[in-house]
Amino acid sequence: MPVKPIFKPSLLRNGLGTYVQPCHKVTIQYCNWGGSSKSIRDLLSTGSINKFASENLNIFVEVVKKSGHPVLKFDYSHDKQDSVEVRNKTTTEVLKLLSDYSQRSGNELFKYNHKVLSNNESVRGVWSPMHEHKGHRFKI
Amino acid sequence: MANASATNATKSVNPTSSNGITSLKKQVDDMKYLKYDSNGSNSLYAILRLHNIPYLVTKGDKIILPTRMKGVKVGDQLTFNNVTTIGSPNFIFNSENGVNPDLFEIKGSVVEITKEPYYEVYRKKQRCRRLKTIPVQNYQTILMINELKLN
Repeated sequence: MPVKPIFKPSLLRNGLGTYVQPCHKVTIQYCNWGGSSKSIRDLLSTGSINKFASENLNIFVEVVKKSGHPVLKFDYSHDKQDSVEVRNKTTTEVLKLLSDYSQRSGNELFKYNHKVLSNNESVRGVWSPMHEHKGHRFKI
Repeated sequence: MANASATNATKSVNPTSSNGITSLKKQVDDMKYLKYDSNGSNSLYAILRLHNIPYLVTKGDKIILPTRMKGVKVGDQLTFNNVTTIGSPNFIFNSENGVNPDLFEIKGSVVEITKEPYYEVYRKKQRCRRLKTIPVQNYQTILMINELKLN
């Protein structure tokens, strides 16, 4: 039988070389009449949305006027989307949600109960008793 | 680790001499073994301290902090200079007071600031039938080590 090489898929490790921010588009949908969109209207009139856009130059910010409750939509790389309803939220709450969600990767939230997540092989390998010095070996 | 005998398979190098004085010259000499053994920093690991908590990392690893790191944004570059141990398959360079930061270069970038999944904690007081519900959704900061090498 011929020897087959073991297929090893390449890993996408954003940030190992250059870092590309996963969130590339934010859509702010609001209503010009409804009371639940009041904070968004305030943010637009005071220029806070403009400030957010100028601070995050790699995010495309789109403002959509549509009847209904206001929604923030976030587009991430790998065609992932996330949306938050922001009805009756205050301006500070909306700004916090904007900055929080734009710094995420779009992946599902998960809790990793260890300190370091590694894809590399162990540097020192598996400990072997055969390589221990004779004086320290376990004697039967 | 610092007091392991030289006869062990893993050799440990302690920069502090017997009289307690750390000399830079000796440290530089001892790094030679690590450089020789590190396979172009491919097989190199370091134990760095972040908020005084040790993290054993290699290049490309993600450090997951269970908090929101203060004063950083996504995409920021961090330089780690509080390192206690640098090691390769056969050698360890260990210093309890921290390795001289001129000898190595360890950098990481802030990859993601996200949250843990939402869960609820219930608290019950004695002689009270009510159950207190506490919503929990903590922040997470994820750092990626993108530089780990010896100078």
